[in-house]
Amino acid sequence: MLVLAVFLVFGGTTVFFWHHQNRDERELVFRQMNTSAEQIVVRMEGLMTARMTALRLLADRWVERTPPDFSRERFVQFAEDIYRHYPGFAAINWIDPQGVIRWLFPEENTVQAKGRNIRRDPFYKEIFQEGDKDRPLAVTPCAPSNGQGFAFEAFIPLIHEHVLQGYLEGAFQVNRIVGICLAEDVFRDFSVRLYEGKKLIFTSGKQRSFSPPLESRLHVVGEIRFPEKIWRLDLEPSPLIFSSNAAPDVPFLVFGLAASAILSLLLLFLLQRMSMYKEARDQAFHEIGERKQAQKALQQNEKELERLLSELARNNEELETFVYTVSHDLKTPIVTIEGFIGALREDFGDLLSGEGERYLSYMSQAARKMEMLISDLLELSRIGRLTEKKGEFPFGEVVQEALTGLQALIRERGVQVDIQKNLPVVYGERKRLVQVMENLLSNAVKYMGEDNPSPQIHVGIQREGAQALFFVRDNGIGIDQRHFEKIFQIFQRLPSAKEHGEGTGVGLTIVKQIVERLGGRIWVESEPGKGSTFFFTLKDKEVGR
Amino acid sequence: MREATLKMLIVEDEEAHAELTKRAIRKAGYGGGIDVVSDGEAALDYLYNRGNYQDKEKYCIPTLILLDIKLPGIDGIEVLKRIKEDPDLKRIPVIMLTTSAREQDIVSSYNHYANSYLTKPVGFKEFEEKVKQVGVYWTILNVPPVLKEA
Repeated sequence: MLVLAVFLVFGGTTVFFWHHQNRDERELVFRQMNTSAEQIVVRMEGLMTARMTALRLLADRWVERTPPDFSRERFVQFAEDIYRHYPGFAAINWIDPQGVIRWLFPEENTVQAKGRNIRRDPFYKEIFQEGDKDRPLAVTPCAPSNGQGFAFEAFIPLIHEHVLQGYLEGAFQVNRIVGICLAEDVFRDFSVRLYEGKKLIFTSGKQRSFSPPLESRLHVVGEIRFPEKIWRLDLEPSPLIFSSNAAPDVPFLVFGLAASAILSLLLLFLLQRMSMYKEARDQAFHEIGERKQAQKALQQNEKELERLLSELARNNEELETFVYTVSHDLKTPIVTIEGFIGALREDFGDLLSGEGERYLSYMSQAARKMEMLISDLLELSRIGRLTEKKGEFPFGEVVQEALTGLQALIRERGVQVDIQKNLPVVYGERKRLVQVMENLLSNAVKYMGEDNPSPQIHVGIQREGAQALFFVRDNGIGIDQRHFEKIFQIFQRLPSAKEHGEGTGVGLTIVKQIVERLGGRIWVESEPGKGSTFFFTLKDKEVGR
Repeated sequence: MREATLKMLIVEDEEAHAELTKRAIRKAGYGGGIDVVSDGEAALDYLYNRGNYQDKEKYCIPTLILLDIKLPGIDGIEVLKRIKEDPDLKRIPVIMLTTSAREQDIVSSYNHYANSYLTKPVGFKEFEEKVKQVGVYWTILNVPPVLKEA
């Protein structure tokens, strides 16, 4: 809307200036034309009036002599006199009372008219009517004349003592009169036209093939009056002095309007930009507001989180303290029980029967079991609080370290252990990984089966795509598929497992927790009687090559 | 021999454990004196001859202290700290003997200049063996510090 208004203002201003300039120019030209037209009118009127007067004087002098002398010599003398002194006459003739052209001056110009009876010519019919001798002057309308433009004639009756002696005729060519009256610069500056009634009797310059509508045309009109004639003068500026009449200063207008349009477009562009910036600013404010709110919320959340974290840390600490207190307190009586069973055997062994000794063994076994449970639980509670730094080390070393603590058991059961060569380097907490292998290997040994003729354990790695699968394979008693999930749950011991050595039901839970904390997973593939394979992975990027 | 001058102080709230420890030490061939106190307060009283332990002849400065950590009242770590801060007592070898294998306990014991840290094994045989070795090392092999400078 504003842009349109600006365009209108600029455009209007342009048009106004353009128009004003044109108008000034028009005004100037108009004034000049007016002056010229007035001059033309005055000069032509003066000239023609003088010629008519001269003709009349000639007529008067012609008939004033007494006795009358209507000789040809006298006519020629008069005519020559006027012709010389009053340029503009095409011819001066004497016509006899019957209407026949008798004498002509200058003779050579109009010789063809000699002897012609003009009274019989229909063109002159109106002039030579009854009583025409009473009319002091009769003038013909302008008529085309032998390619010399328009011409007209004036007739003055020659009356001597009330007797018609004939007519004095003055012939005028319009071209010639105009040529005498108008200076050359007038023709250069203007296009001059003369009308008699509606008849165009003179025109200077080229005729326009196309005339603009009259009302838009710049022109002046003058009236030229001399005896028996009224001519209309029409002046128009020539294209040389006033081009804008035909073709106004269009480049100026076009330039002005184009500049207005460009300015308006620039303004439009500017306004659009401004509104864009405004929008962006509002958006930014909005976003800042939102961000502030979000930040506030985040800060609150952070505070809440910090509070929860400190609470958690406190709880953890409390839990740790609790676990240790419990383990200490639980271990203390076991130490006592075990200690005094030992002391009893040593000091009073002789007094005990075989059955008494068996009872003591049961007590001792129970105490040991209790101790293992406590140790495993303690170990399990520690996994969540890994304190060891992670590092890179060969997996082969982990396996060897795990086997060290199990050597006695392995020898006792006669198990053959094969370890794949070139095991990769792994990344993690060494102690925990050793614990994983210890638990898996000790399980493999424990559940080998009493009557296994050649107990074997195979430790190795196999590739599944980019993933390295570590495995511990045995040919022991195996596990039913139903129990694949259960064995990793705490305190879950299978009925078959209870027959095969001691266990707390925590070992595989510890293994699973460690593997998962290291970003891997663990599973078992097994069939009863055909042995088990425990697979586990470690986080991909933590497996060296 | 030096046995007559040997005196071992066992700080242990569990009477049975103290009994087992004493038994194992005796079995290892230790012939010196063994006194047992059952809490931290009593241990400090013993060392400073306060309260029930004012008899300086009877409760002389021990040549070795076996110190449990979990004690009622003043705990073992605090007792250790007091001993090691005292210029007259700091040379007594203090052996932490506890059921706890807690890292925090181990670290803070050594931070307070414990001379050794032992966990009580559950098995009778293992317990006996450990205490025996400790007894042999600290009371027979080890040259004890001069407690009172002349």
